[in-house]
Amino acid sequence: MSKRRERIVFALSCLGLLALWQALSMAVDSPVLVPSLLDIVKEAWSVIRSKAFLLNLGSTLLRGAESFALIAAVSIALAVASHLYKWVSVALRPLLLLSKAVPVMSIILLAFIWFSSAAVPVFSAFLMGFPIMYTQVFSALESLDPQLEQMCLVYGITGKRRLRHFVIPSLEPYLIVGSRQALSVIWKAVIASEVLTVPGLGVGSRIQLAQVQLETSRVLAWTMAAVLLTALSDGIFEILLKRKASWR
Amino acid sequence: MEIRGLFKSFGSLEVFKDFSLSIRDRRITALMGPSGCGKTTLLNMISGLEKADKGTIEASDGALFIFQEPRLLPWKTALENVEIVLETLVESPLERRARAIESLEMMRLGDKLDSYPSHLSGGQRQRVALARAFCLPAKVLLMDEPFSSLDSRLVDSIMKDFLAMYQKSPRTAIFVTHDGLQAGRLADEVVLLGSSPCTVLDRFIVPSDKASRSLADALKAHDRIERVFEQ
Repeated sequence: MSKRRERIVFALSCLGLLALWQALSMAVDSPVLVPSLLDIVKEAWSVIRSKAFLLNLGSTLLRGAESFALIAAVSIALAVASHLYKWVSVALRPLLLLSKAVPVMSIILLAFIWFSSAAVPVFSAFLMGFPIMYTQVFSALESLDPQLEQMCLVYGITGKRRLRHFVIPSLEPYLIVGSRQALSVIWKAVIASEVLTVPGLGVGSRIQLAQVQLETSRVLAWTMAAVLLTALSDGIFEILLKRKASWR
Repeated sequence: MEIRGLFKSFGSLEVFKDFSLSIRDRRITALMGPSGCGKTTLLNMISGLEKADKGTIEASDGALFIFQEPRLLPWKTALENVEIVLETLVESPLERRARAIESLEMMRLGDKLDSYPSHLSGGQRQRVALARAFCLPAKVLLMDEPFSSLDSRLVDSIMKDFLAMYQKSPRTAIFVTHDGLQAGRLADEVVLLGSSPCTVLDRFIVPSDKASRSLADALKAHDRIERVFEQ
């Protein structure tokens, strides 16, 4: 399929989904169950214009950034340790398996029992995102090209220079892919935590309160803000990946 | 270069057992033998990538390796790949650049300085690898079948440029190859090895000067190599 046709089909599918929603809302005829597209757009506009919009979005953004920084630092440190000492990677295996298997909601609820509510979003996002980032960095380190490794040795590219010219460039694509995948679960975990713990500010808190008040169109408007966050972080890393891959 | 009383085993396999070989300085010595006879292991031991169980290798400090594959850093341009190896040697970045460019121009890559390896042909990549090795002043050059993964039509011109570069700064070069004709064309001396354990079957000096050698002389060397290995 040509790029052009791909785009046309994609756009038609988007329109189809919107049309389906509109048809459903007209058939059900209840703004609480399925609000019309116009209602949602109106609501989204009023949400965006409200003073609290940036504060709420910013709070969620900050929580996400905090857990991302934590994930990046801990994953890289532990991946390097696992690469150098096999026992570290084996010791981490149960934790990785556990965090993959345990439902997100269980983690959030347990965190809510154990910690103050402020720590819940960051903690649960960390637990969800850490295995993703760690696995990427660790596998990147394990798959460093042994032929290039030997070349570096023979040509005196050692120590810091080996790190700068060989190791870090080898890791870059994995770091970018890991960051992107980790961020997409971070947003989900942070917002889900906010829905459950309802901090003063946050996209999740707004969704929760709108739901309690049966303001379905506002639930959807804030959900769109959450989608925006994911799209934004995805876009940034997409660009980074393209820029870094100019040598391919 | 002197190799004396070398021992090296892998498990129960004795690859080298009291092996000795002297290699003439500032000449190209072709090393030939069946696969598994220990040629690559010998190069690795000379360069220090592997350790001998016993024995001595003299004058091996600062040996350079030219591999069968170019082994360039894919995220660096041709020029950067050469510049990198000069970093600890030449302090001024400008001089580093100048020397790298000179080396690449000798290998006829003057118009490919800013190309990434993925945008170069296999022959051009190997030319970058040769330029990278030759811009360094190391006394010993180890070549592990550097031309064997290239298209046979390309080999001729690359070998010619290699020789020109070599003549400008001759070093003690060990050239491992499977190709008797390549050995006949480039080498000053040919050493033929037998396997398990590694022994010298025959060695001879190729009579004419390698820079102006005729194809007939190269073929003569090639025929002699064939005869030894047939026995």
